[in-house]
Amino acid sequence: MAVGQTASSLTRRRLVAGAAAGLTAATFPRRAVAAASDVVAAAKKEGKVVVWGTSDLTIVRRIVQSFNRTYPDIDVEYFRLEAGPATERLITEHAAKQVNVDALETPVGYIEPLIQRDLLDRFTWRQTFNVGADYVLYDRRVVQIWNVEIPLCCNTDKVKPSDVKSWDDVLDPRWKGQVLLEARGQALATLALKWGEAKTLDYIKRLKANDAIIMLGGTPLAEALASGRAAFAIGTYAGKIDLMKQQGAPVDWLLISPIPATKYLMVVPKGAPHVNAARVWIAWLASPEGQAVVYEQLHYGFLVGNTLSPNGRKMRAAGVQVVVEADDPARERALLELVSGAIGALK
Amino acid sequence: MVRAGRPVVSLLFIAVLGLTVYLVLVPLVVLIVASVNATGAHLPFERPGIFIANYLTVLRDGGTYRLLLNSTIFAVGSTVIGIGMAVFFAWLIERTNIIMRRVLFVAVLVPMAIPNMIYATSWLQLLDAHAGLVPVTLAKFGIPFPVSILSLGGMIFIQGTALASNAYLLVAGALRNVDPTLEEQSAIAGKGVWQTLCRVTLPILRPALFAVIVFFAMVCIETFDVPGMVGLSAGVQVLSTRIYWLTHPEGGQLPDYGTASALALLLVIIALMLITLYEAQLKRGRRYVTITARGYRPSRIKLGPLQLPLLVLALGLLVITVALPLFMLVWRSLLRFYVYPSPAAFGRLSFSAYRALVDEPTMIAVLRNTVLMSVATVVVTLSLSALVAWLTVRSPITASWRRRLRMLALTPQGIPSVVIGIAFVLTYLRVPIPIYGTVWIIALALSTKFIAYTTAALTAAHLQIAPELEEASLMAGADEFATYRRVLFPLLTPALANCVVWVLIQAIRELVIALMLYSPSSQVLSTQVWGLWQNGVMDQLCALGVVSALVLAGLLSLPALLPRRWRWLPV
Amino acid sequence: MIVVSQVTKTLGEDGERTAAINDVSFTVENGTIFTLLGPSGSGKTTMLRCVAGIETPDRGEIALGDTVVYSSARQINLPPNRRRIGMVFQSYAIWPHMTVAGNVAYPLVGRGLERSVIAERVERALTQVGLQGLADRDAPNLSGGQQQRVALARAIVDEADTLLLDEPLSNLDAKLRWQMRQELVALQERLGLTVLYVTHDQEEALALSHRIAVMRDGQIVEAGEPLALFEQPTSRYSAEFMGLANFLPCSVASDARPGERAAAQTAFGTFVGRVCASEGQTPELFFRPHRITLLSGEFDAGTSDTGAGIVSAVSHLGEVNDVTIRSGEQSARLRLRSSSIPRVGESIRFRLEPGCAMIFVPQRVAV
Repeated sequence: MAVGQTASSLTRRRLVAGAAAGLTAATFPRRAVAAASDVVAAAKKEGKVVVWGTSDLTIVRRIVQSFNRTYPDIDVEYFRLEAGPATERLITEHAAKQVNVDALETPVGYIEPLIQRDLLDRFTWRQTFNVGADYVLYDRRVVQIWNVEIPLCCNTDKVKPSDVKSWDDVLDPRWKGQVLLEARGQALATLALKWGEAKTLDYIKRLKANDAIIMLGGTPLAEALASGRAAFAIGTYAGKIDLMKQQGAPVDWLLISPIPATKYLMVVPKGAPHVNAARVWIAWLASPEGQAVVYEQLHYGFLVGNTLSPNGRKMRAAGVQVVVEADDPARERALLELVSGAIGALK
Repeated sequence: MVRAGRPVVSLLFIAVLGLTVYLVLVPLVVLIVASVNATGAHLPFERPGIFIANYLTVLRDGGTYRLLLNSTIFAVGSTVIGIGMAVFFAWLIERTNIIMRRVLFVAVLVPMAIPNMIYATSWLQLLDAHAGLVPVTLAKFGIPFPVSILSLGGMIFIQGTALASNAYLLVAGALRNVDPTLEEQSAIAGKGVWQTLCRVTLPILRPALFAVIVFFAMVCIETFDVPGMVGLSAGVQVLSTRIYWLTHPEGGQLPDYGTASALALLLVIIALMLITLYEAQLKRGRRYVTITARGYRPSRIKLGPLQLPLLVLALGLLVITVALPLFMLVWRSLLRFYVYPSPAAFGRLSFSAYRALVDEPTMIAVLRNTVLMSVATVVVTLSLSALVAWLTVRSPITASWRRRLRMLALTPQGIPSVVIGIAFVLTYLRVPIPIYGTVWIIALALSTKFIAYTTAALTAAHLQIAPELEEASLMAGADEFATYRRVLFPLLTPALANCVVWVLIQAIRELVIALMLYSPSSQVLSTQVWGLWQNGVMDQLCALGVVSALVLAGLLSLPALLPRRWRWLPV
Repeated sequence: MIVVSQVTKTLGEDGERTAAINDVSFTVENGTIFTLLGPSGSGKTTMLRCVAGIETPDRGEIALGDTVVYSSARQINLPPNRRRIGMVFQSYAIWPHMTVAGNVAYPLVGRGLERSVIAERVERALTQVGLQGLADRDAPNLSGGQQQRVALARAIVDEADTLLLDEPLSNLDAKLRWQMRQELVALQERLGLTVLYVTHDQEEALALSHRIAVMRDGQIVEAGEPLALFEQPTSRYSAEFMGLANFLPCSVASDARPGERAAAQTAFGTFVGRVCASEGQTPELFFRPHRITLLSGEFDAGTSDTGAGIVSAVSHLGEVNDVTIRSGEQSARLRLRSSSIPRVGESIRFRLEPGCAMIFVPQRVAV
């Protein structure tokens, strides 16, 4: 306190300063919105982006080729890592102040621990890159790139698709030991949002009573289905089935309501070494151009919202209802635990 | 600490002890801390505190004891099958005059080149009740196939046959050094081949065999590949799969290192018990001296009329355990997706999977990394365990210290790979040695894992050398180091060569540790394989398996083409 | 010269230590063969290994020539490779992965000697042991006897003047053993070696040694020249160990002192002998079975040093006959030449050769 100033004069100073700040805040938004071109320029300077995800490398490479046609100066280093280990590694590296990844694919269930530890970077996706509002989630921390649909699938040598009417058909004793069930139960956990927990648990019990074969992983499930080990598969991806069908495998996915779908989410961790390149990459994936490439290569796209993939359009045309997994990460996690526990393989 | 005044030797001992302590205790300490510090919501070292909740959960849960039972049955069954087969083949190939020895030798070892995951997948495809090659073929002839591969028995069968290849090298090494006069005497006394085997050969082999049995029992208790794959669909859980799923949860939970570590400590305790048993056997050291001055070139037992039946048996076993899965691999690698072998299917065969492997742009980097990593692992593991074996069997260091060093070196066998992995991650993110994210951290972690095996192997080899051979060298004026160089090392060469081959192969196959420690710049073959499996690219996966098997078969046949002096593997 | 003073070594883990060597002292003069003789477990091999340096005693002092190689008081312990003595092991310890030349040349390699010098010394050593020309043979292709000679050659190639031999002949057959014994003695004389020899075979010890120390339970019971030990042992143990012996319980005057001559009454008769202290319980008369003469005809029953008994068993051993005679409760063994073969049941009389009888009298500790 300088000589001659009184307490009251100080308080008045503070009031004026506060009012000025509030006025400024009202006039100009607090966060500075970067222009897309600035971000791209910064990304070019960074030169590369390290991405962790679970997609097939050959396919990703083709997607990256398209990306590089638009952004030739940004190298994409894609790195296969399962969600669990990825999350854990991020947490560990972050604690040691050594983050090595720029963009990360994260299932809904893993969002919570990352948010709790404040590990995710917020960004003005909508303003800078025109990413649809539907697709920016969890207070601008997460971008949804596509949906993964997990419908009921069948082996066309054993079953005529038109003969299947509902999910309950697989409980028929005729299909004893002929149904593949994915161990993590993602499809059923999502269905539980529509069916309710009690019905889902009952369904699982009856599946097991019908000698369902439990396997780990959607793709191995598709492989087993194609090889004739079973007639039905619950928990494999329509995109994969489409690709296999193209190669002549006797498989197909069924337009039976409801079709569960997950959200494919990407995040940028705090402290990422190439943060702008990450933003460019994610924004491109979410753009129409990127979406077209993704669909062509992976057969994934959006099933809800305004821009539907061809599969999404097919479903809408057939009047099939799509159930997307829960927004609330805690709820999602609880359902997954419940379902995988009921299936009882992963312990 | 030292009996005779040999300060250099005791300095060396202290250095080796220090290195081993560092290598072994780091994961152990992390394990213990994690078991009392981590919970389902927090990773180890995230926040301070000590809780015994994990132990209470584990001990109170009835499921834990079921896991223990399953693990024990699995381990015992697999070990019996695996070691039994290994002894049979090792004896046949090393000590008898059976024909086609080279072929048998290569065939026995080939499964080692195939990663366990691929091997198990092959068996699942072979024996699956609905679409498997064997049941379907048998059904065509009206023969039912009542056995299900998706059971504890099926797991034991797959693990046991895979184990046989692994154990062969070690058992063969020991057999090669058995004093032939002992068996000859048995023959002279009129005992037949079978009796000689049971009454003379096997008892002499006992400490070396015991070491092999102990270690493979420990391997089976903590291995994940086969129980993970088969057990999932079979509904059978063992200790190792539980630990794995706790640390690799699939539903959005964070890994529960707390409970996993508490369970893992159970494994370590079991390992320590087994190691103590092994130590007790070692005390009878002198009785098992087999390399003496009396000459050590083994002569072969003449099989006579037993040639044909034994050959048929051996070939039959190999057809079942090696040829069938290999065929499945080859067949699957030539198809985009599986079809039952039939003339119609032949139209679909293509080499696209192999082409994809070759075209894979990262393949060169992956191969280079794999070579660097495996060679580094061999160097670290062999040097350290050779030193440990030498210093602990017969050196002027006091007996109690020698015993401590040996037990320390053997302990890591009981620490699950996943624990070693996480321990290294946590440690080297903090310790200022810049190996995190490189192939060197993988090599170091693998060395920690393998040092137990090679130490046991080299210890057994040391024991088979008569102490007089060393003492005579000392009396002739050579100090301990010269004695090692001029007497021990030449006599240990077969065992050392065996260990080099074993470590190389295991380093290339090891999956769990590589998965936890690799990074974009340090991808290796096994992580590549995992990626293929996760993506369900079965044809490329099988193609990789076939290529590995061919490369290994080539490596193993190579010595036969070299002049006798250069052969590092005997056939 | 080898001087061993008050060397003790215990074996075993703490808490159950047993003394392998207990306060042993002896001296091996230059150019002589000194034998440690005893059964297994007597500590003879341990003592040898302590002199070699392969084992370390707990206490005492060992000197080789002018050098003290071990001293517990002065904290000296020279490692074995610096003691410059040759050693031959019981199992020969020939290295199977080398040739004969490789084995023999071993001590000379790595010392900066010229290859030709080494080869020459190897050949010389091989000649000394009678294996000239076998230098290039692979070690495992040798017979037992040849291996033993190679071991010997290796021990002497470095021209050390001291040699340690640990039961080198025990693995050879009888005929070879005899031959090697001759050769060893000849070699030692030729090269003037100082030899410490260990064996359990008293015949070997007698044939080879200049001096013998009889060991038992880690201690030297008696040491002396071979013949003296054989004929006039001063301890019951070495008396029994050195060869066939008769110990006849007898009665002797209570004031008999060691060193004096006294008369001992046995069932066979009364004999005069030198008194010796013994560890036994009762006084015993000792004599060797072959130190007797058969008497014929009538003699005075009172003549001293004669005895009589009934033949109870006869064994024909080719060169000698082993005859057991009885008198009352006692029996004794005699060795007679083939020319006089008594029959079972015959009564014979014999005389002890003068000076061969000893009377072992237990010494009671004065309270």
